Amino acid sequence: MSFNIPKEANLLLGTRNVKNLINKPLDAKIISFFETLSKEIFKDKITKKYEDLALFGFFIRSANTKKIIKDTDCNLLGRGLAFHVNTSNVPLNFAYSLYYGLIFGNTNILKISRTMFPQTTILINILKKVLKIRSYNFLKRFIFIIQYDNQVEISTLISINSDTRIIWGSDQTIEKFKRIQSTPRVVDLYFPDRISLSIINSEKYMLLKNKNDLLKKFYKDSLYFDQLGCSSPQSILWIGRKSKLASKDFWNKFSSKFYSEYPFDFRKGYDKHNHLFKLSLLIKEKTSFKNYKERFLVFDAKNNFNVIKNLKGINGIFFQTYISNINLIDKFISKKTQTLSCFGFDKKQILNIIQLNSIKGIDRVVDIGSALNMNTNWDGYDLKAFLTRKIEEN
Amino acid sequence: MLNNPYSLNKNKKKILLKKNIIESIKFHKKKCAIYSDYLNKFSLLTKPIKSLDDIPFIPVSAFKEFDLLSVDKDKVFKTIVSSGTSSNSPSKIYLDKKNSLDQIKALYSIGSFDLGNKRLPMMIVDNEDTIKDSNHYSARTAGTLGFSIFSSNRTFVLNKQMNINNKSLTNFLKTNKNNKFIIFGFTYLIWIFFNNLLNTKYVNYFHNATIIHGGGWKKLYKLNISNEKFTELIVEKFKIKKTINYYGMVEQTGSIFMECDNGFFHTSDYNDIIIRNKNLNISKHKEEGIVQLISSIPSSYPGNSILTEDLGYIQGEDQCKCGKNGKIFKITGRIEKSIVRGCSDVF
Repeated sequence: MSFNIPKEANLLLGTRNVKNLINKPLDAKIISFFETLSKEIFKDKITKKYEDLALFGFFIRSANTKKIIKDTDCNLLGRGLAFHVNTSNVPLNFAYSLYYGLIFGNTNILKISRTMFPQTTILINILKKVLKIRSYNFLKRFIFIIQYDNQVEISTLISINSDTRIIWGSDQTIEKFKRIQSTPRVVDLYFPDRISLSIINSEKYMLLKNKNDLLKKFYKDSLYFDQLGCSSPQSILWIGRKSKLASKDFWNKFSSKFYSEYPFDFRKGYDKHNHLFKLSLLIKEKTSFKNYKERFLVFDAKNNFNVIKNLKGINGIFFQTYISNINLIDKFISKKTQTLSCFGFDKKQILNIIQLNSIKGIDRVVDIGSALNMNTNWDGYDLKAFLTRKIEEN
Repeated sequence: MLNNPYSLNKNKKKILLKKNIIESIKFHKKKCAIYSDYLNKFSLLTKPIKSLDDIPFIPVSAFKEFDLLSVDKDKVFKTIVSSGTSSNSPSKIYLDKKNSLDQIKALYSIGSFDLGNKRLPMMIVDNEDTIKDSNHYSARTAGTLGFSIFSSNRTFVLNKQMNINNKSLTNFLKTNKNNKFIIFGFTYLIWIFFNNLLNTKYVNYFHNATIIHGGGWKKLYKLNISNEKFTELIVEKFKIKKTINYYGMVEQTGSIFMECDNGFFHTSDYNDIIIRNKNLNISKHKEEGIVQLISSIPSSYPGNSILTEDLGYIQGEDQCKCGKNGKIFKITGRIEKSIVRGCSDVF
């Protein structure tokens, strides 16, 4: 059972003919492939320039992959052909997607954006290089990376042949794919647009001797992708009696420290202004704001839950508010909320609050600094369950 | 008496143009809800406006994403849907009769200062289709329609395939053998046109022409063709005495900027330019930055002060050797495109 990728699609990796092959999940050869890929990524000097490339290289090391092996279920197989529709704003989204698809034993077709980041090109070249190694040759039939202009016919052809579809958003893309014909047994995983935020224990913050470490971590989470990732924190909820003090201290230090470090140019300046124009129409009431060092603009949302629940910034536009205690966070959370990154709180306490208040949002509770870390449990889905199938044997 | 659209120096402009713009902005604030929202949320009109630098500005992208108008929809005489020079979604500009007329008056005032009052035959280096739809148009259409007011008649010399229509060209040149005439076109098209005529008999027929061209050097930069190379071709090979580059934007049609003999664009009594750095603060003269354009013409839509996606620098003010008042500036390119289109749902 095979089909051909139409000529209208640009083939970046793989052949036009696709056979739906499956493998055993967590096959030793595939783990070894990623270990080699990791080594090649770090061999390349250019990796130093792209932090996300280094992060991916770290992530795919066999030590990490072996952590995923919890049960040695011999009846587990790859589900089949996984069709990944990757985001246009996170350069290595396709890489993580491919990693999971491949280690769980699937053949993978990845549709990536026409506009390519340097990291994307670099990684694809490294992939090609490693696939040339004899013992990894066989994986050439499991990895296809393509680009096309969203022609419905192409999406339909691949969908009809797929066993799993992983659609990484935008919400519009997800709606489009929901309407594209597939088959009754296809398993669809949608990663729609999400919003993320941070909570900081103000008393604990003020007691911190080394505040720089926390600032660095928040910077990494938020501005590494210019706040464009779904896991990037857009707002900070300051909790406790020292909230106003902590907030002032934080932003003053943050702006001083990162004013020069955060890469800024005409494009970011213009886009930021354009974003502010759009924001002004969405913020219903007059909201005060402060422009720290004329680079980091922070809005005070006060009691406007909708601001925190729905609005995102870019290039250094943040939102914040002050609440007296952590039990009051539920008003600022919606189903759209994905990652809650925290400082100074017991995560179990937060999980309790989520359950007690029947909060449907929040799929990840992590430390500030770990917001962008990828995990097998993503957006509330266990990727292993979706990308494998277990044959019932009696 | 020929009116002088370059009569205001810095101090007079500060008073007159500033007054004009503030009145306009206050009107737009009353009539355009979106614009009003923006001004209110950021408290942009609460402090006194001491100079043109303090005038609030909106991003040019706003015209692509929103319907910005300050008149009732039934008063709209013309809606320009323009894709400018990029392939993004188009800007929508809503004009009532007055605004439309004011655009023509401004263009005439500015253009006739350099071209004179007499209408001349005009050769347009483009094809007819460019002006077919007078409502949906590109920067090329805007320029062509606008500058046509200086023509006594016009001839398009390119066919639909954008190749030279020899018949039209020959006819025009024969008819105007001893006349002064104007050649109008997009900079890039003018370059190709003259290159194609280089080793032909036509080389000797252009010495009475004045070229008006605009639309940017982007394509030519890509091909490594500089202003100097361009001028060398036109002036030396074809003996054309006068070429005038113009700069403008579809969101502020009419109040264009003409290049003087010293190679700089000039602001006029109708407009002004401000250069901003990446923090959107005012840049010093000679520093490259983001171009903000101010115009007194927009009255049916809040387009008086717009932050563009162009880059440029100001050379000086009121000191140009050509004698015209105004700021003199150069456009150096466009802000690099954002690689990222965002999680698309940024809200």
